[in-house]
Amino acid sequence: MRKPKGERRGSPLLGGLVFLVTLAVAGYFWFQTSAALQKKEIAFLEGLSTRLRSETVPAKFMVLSREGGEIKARLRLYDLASREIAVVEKSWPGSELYIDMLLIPVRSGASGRDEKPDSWLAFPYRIFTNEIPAASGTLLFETYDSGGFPEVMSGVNWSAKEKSVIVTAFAAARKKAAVGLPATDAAKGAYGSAVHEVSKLSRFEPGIVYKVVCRVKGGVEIMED
Amino acid sequence: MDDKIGAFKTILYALSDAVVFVFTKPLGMAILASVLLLAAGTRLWTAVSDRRLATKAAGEDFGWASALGTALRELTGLGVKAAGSLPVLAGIGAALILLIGVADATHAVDDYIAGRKRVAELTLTVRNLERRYKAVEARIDDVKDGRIKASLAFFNYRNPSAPARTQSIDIAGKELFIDAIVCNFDYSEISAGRAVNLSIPFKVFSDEVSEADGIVLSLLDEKGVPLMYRRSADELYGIGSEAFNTRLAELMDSLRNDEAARGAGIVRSLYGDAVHRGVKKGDSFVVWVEQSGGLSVKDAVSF
Repeated sequence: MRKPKGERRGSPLLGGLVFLVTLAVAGYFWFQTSAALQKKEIAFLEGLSTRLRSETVPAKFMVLSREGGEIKARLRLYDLASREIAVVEKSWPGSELYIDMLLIPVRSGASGRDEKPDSWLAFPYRIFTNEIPAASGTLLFETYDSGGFPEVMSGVNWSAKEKSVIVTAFAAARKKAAVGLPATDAAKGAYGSAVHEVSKLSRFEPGIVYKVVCRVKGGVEIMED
Repeated sequence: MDDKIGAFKTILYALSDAVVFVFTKPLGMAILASVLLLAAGTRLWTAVSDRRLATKAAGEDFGWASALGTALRELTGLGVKAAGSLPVLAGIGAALILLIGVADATHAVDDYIAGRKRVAELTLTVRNLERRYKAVEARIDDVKDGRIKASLAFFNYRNPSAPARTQSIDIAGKELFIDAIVCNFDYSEISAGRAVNLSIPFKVFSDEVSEADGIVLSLLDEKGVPLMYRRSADELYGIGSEAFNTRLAELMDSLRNDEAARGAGIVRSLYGDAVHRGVKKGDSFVVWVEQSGGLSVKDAVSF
């Protein structure tokens, strides 16, 4: 069939050029979007990685002496700004020192109790040794209780809501401690972590300062300061 | 091939940087303007000198007016030539813009590929740090007359589905303490997946029974290796069971020797941790070894 005279055909070169330009612009925007999403993902993962390693140091201690079957130690408590808030110095019968921390789960989700905890608040609980039962240990709550607010959590500009969460958690910790950590009550899932030296493996050397490191994820460690 | 691409990229980036410098930075533009002015000046000087020599040879005077006229004529000529070369100049300009575009695009692709590697590394780091291993599962069989009766199951981190050993205990108190040696490795080792934090439960006591009077968990074999870390021959690949057990014994020996462990530079902390909870009949909880460090306790039903 012959084309009618005078009919104009589109230029294939121009069409190809328009197609290529459209493709290039679409590719550019796709690439920019992917790169922006990638940057967000990297920032999120870096934040998460940092959060998993984040730690607080509410207590440091030093063994002063080991004599006559007794261990004498000094414990200093600190707030989140590393300001000293209390000192406890005492002797206990025994050869291995136990620093007991009470960990209370914090759930920020709307559904509250049934959710997995986002983080754990660690409160210095008591000191005992290998030779005295934990129930006979030295309780620490009173040394940093400031009208219901635990001073170990001060040193940060908490919002009113955050402050309320901390006060509630501390009240739950005190209640738990008073009745021997029952398994069911307000701070469900709370547990204690009594970190200590092991004579045959790793002793606290007199004169050396050790710190109690509490992880946001729940673990407690002892490290040389 | 990679070397050739690398060399090409180096040249591309160098050219692109040079073009960007010359046409966008004040110093670059000043240098370019100076060079152009110098070239034009030289051209004018040459033209005026040639004209002066020719005029003198002809025995005529060559005054300021003649020099100015010559210079203006030369400048006009230069302008006309430049105008004639506009398509070429536009072509060169387009080529330079294309060069910068290609260099920028290559940079962006390189950044994107580097970003993908970074995402993979961070994902692995986070996964390794988020990981936790079940060490002990405690089931409280009874709490009566001030005594706790419980069944403890000890797990090997490589096989969390079946306990490596179980033990029943009966102890006075209302709060159960499970004491373990904890060995946390350096973060770099953990996040890279080269090491796994370890825990060796060794005693159970309570709020009313001191650690010294607690119940010893018989979890070590005759070589001092925790039973939960032993492997049968068919579980091992690439190493004989005897060699494996010897290496394991060496590792445990180094853990027992604090100085040796720290000297090796991979152990971050080594200590005891007695995790504890108040209990009632029917409770069930798990002690986990956190790869971010330390032990944690969670309800068994939560996982």
